[in-house]
Amino acid sequence: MFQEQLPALFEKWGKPELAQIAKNGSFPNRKVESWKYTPVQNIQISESEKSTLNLPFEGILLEPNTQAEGIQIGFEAVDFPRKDIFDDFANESFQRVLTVTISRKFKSELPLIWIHQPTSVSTDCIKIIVEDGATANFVELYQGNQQLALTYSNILVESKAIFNHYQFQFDGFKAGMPQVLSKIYAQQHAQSTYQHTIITFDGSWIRNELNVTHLGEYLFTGMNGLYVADGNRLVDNHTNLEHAKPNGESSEFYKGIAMDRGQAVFNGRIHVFQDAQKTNAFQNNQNLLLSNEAQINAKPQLEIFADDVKCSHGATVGKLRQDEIFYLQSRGLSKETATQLLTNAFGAEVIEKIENETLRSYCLEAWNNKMGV
Amino acid sequence: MLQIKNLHAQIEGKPILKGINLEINAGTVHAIMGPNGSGKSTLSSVIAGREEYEVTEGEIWFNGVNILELEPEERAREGLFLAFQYPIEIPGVSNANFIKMAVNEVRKHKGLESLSATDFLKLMREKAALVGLKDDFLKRSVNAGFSGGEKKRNEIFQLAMLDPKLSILDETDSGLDIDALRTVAEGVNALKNSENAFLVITHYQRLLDYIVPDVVHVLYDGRIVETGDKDLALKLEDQGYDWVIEKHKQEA
Ligand SMILES: Nc1ncnc2c1ncn2[C@@H]1O[C@H](COP(=O)(O)OP(=O)(O)OP(=O)(O)O)[C@@H](O)[C@H]1O
Ligand SMILES: [Mg+2]
Repeated sequence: MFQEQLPALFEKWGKPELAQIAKNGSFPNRKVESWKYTPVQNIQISESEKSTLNLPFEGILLEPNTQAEGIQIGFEAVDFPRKDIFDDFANESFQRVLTVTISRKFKSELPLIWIHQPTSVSTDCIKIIVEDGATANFVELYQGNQQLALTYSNILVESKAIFNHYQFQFDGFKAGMPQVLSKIYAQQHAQSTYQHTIITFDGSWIRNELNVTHLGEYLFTGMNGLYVADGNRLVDNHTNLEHAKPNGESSEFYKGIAMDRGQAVFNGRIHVFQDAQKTNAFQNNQNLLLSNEAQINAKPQLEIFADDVKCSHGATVGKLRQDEIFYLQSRGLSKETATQLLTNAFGAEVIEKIENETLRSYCLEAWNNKMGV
Repeated sequence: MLQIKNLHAQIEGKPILKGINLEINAGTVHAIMGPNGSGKSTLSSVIAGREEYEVTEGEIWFNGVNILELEPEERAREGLFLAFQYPIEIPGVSNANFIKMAVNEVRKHKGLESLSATDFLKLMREKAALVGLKDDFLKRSVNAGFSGGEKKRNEIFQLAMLDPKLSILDETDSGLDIDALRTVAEGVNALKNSENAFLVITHYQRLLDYIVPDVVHVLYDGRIVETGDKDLALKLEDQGYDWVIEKHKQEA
């Protein structure tokens, strides 16, 4: 089993301290509420060679030696919150982590790319500072079949900065998609924008945690997601938004599809602090359940302590509409094709929201391929 | 082309069609009129193969095939087309993409190759012009945000693209303005030939002024109770349904 495999894998990686933690520590189990539907023992690791990098679109690859106008690379110490053993792995892996500071001088339209290519188990940690008034697109790509990528990011979006953060969890390289545990800790200052978009339709065991905290007022947080659990895939998205200051605005839009024997989890927590008056928080989670053996666990979790706020939320789990299928059939499309077309359309709504044209087309093409449309 | 024999159908246990007999030959236009709720849309849905309706008795033959055993898409590929009374909106599915798939399915069934991108575009432009639908509607999602009249035009556009043998128009005229009515009717007339047939469901003579029917039927309480020529429609326009209802109340 995965847990027993780990110490040896860490030894081999030259991280005896991690091997020690793996040996002595305990892993999250189903008794822990937030891990209830996400069994850790389903992770499977086999070692592989690193495949060659092949960028699906032009971008600036983030590495220790990246050079670009307005980008400063360094190494800094970071403490990620410790809630489970994976956090210990992340914190103990490196003394300092790759730190990217983006200044207002950064004017490139090209996205910054952070690529995850685990050869067995790897911890990828990054710290990003988006300075006052700066704007950047940041894309995480995943590659490496059957391996486990633990990816941790610490993001600070300063005043009036705009940061678009994308995670594309599908096989854009045709080289396989790793198993992923991703944790993002983003903090935002006044009048900033943090827009997160995650698209998952590949891999076998995926868990994403997104934490956003407001440090200032009049800012916007956007969280969009598409998660597709087909085959035997497990996809778990846990989002947590801390509306800690007044006058904050947020919009969360997650769509999920489960078919075959897929398992999907969505947990969207929005916490509005008592003095976070005039908060405007919107959450919508729609799910399509396309097979009897598939499972969706959707849970909005609104904790609102301020009284003068506008918060709306909705969560649905449903099937495709019969009248839509019939309409398409009445024009000569088979039930299967109609189902594919409608499922594709359901998911495409999230992808259509991607503002950057290159990234939107990249995702749409992959999604259409996936759905045979 | 189409023979319906003693067709009975029900929904949720409630009988709606109570013994329909209807025969339509190639090269003809039939009109069906009848009061609200008499079963006109139910009849068209049953012909098109909507699952919710349960056929309890009777047969539907289409060009020698008993279509009650066919899936809706198989009926469509055989050349049946239903222009819906209430076309639904399908957000996210592009009109052009959808109709292209549909056209190619029908062609495949006929043993023809898929149309090339350019041929398809040409055909699409030609048929869109026929029903007065602007090109940008083709790029939009199927019926999403279309006005009532635009949806009806889109139905006839799809009809023109698929070139079916039997077209059922379920109140295509309702929701169309006077000019649109003429455009759509002229479109239908342009598609009419000796090989195909039309079944036009309507409440108004107006449409039948343009698309002149060979046979007019009155459907009342799940049965065809009157059949005549185009003068029957004029009589209904003039006198309403009271006399029909009076005459057939006993049977109901
Ligand atoms: N899904 C359904 N569930 C229950 N009853 C239904 C359903 N569909 C149709 N009916 C009933 O069947 C009857 C016939 O309806 P239908 O739509 O066929 O009438 P119609 O002749 O097309 O009327 P209109 O002229 O108003 O379009 C009506 O009484 C209607 O309420
Ligand atoms: Mg009707």
